[in-house]
Amino acid sequence: MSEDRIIKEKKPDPKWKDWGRLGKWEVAGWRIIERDEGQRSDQLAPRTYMVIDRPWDVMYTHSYGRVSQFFMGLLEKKLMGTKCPKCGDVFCPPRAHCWRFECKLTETEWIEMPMEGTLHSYAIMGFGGEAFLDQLPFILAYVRVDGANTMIAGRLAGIRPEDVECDTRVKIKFIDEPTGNPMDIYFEMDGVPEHSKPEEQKARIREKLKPIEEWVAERKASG
Amino acid sequence: MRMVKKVAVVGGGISRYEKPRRENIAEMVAEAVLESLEDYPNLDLSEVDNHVLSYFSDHFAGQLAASWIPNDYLGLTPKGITRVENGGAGPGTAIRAAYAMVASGLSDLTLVTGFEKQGEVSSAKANEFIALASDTDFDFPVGGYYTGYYAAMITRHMYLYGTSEEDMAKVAVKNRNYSLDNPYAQWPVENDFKPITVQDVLDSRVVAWPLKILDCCLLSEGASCIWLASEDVVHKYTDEPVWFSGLGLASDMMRPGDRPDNPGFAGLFPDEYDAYPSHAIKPREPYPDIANFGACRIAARDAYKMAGITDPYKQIDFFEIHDAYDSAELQTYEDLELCKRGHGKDLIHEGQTYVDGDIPCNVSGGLQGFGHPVGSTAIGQTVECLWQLTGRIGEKHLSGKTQVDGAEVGLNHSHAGTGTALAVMILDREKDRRW
Repeated sequence: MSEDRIIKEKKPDPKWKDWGRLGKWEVAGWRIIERDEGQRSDQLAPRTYMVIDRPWDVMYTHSYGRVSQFFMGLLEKKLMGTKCPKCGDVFCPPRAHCWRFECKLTETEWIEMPMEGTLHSYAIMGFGGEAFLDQLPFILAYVRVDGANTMIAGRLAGIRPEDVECDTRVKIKFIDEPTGNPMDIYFEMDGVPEHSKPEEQKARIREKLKPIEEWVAERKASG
Repeated sequence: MRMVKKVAVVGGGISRYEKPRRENIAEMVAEAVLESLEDYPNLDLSEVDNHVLSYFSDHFAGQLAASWIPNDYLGLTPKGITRVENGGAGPGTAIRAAYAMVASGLSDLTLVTGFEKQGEVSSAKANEFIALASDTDFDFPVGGYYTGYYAAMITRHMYLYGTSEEDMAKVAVKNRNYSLDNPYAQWPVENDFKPITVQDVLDSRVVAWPLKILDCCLLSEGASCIWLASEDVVHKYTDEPVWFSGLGLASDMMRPGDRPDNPGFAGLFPDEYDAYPSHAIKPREPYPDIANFGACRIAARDAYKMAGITDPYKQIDFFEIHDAYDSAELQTYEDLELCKRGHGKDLIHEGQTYVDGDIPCNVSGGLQGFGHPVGSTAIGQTVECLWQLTGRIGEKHLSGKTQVDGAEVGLNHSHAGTGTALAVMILDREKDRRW
């Protein structure tokens, strides 16, 4: 691979690493480099470039819109959905208007959802955004809350990842102190999954997750 | 004269993919355009009457309205410029928009360009930017991002049809190893021009099981361009045009979780109700569920119909597919109706999607090997289609190893989100093919 060869450098103040979110588009640091470049990988030649570090970020003040009641419900440990009074379709995640052409954007009505559902599918997460790295490995799950015509994404807890399988029953739980975020709820297996992977495959998944568990443990240990 | 004019690709070029490229966005686009001017000497920027540009993200570019910069850099002012953005299907949708402008007579010669620069931020931040193209109120806040969504989609497919990690790995190996012959490709440069094996893929780090790092495409920088001419002026530019014979564009729900009961698919695929595996809980709309890309099938059917294609497996000679994940290539074989649902794995095991098979797929290297600078991706793949259909692979690649012998008809597939927007195009060496 072609590498940058530093010719001259002013390192950014280390504060910018943490202060990136406070960045104001300043040229915080720069390098003049030489690099083999060109339009095809078999025709590269050295060229000189100036590369700058330019931090920038922003705060969004965001409205949850007319489905705010779902998130307000989370704060009170109630799982809310909506129901179309015309066709009866139930939405969780909620929609303020029905999705069927024939219902002509009928306004839906709020209902409280049961705290049970079925796991439709899932992924075992081994990498993620900065904010989630210390939680790895975790299970990203799509669950159909009983009675809903949609599935909601969340975390499946309380089970080894290799033991999870689609189409099994889950209970929906609240964390102790909800914050008005979909992470306020999580799923737990309700009994033993009805289907199971072959033992050989389970062992392989377990092996594949070990380095991730070790990596996260090291990350946590080093603060 | 026809009301709708036939439209042809009369040239194209690529500025190679890597992360990072140290050229700026306008310079990368200029490199791609320069190649097209050298390979097709009758092309002349002064005759372009319309410019359509595709890039995915203002966040990556660190620049809003970034389409205006390459436009003026190429000297195209005061000609019209249109940016088309449709997630990962942006470049395919840009080609479709340009096609419509030329077919309708609004333009005789349209330049379509695309670029992306994904390397100015860390890889974790880049994945976060891409994740912002998922639902940021419901799916992103629980730790979701694209590899996780695709993993959940193929997990359901594995559960329904027994698709395995080995099946997926074979696709990754095929595409990455084909890219070794492509001097515009990113993977060879990243992997010291070495081939990989199925075991390498299986041994690579888990990103979101069942997807490991070698199951996933690359973050890329690079650019590409194609020139679209109306049938009135095609002869001025080349004796070897490649004609658009069919186009389709379709959509699906933003959140994958909204798909299994989506009334938008009610009644469209009646055979799928009985075909759904009996061991699984059947959703209201068993196709696509979250195991397949319904928008792909709709877009493909529209494109096939327009091109008069009744048997894509037999009538199309090669495919350039959006293999953002090797799993998605297997699912897409099914959604393009190259096989029955659940049988994508059979095609790779039988070798049908290799260069010497019945339906070569991604012999350019695809997104896994060639690379995925989002706004450029399907435009770059169209350039590869142009070279395939005019027998130029031996001249443009390091050898003729990935030239599909006698290629007459090719399909280009441009895919966004978790299959949320889908553009399919059929390209043909003949202007009016009679099947």
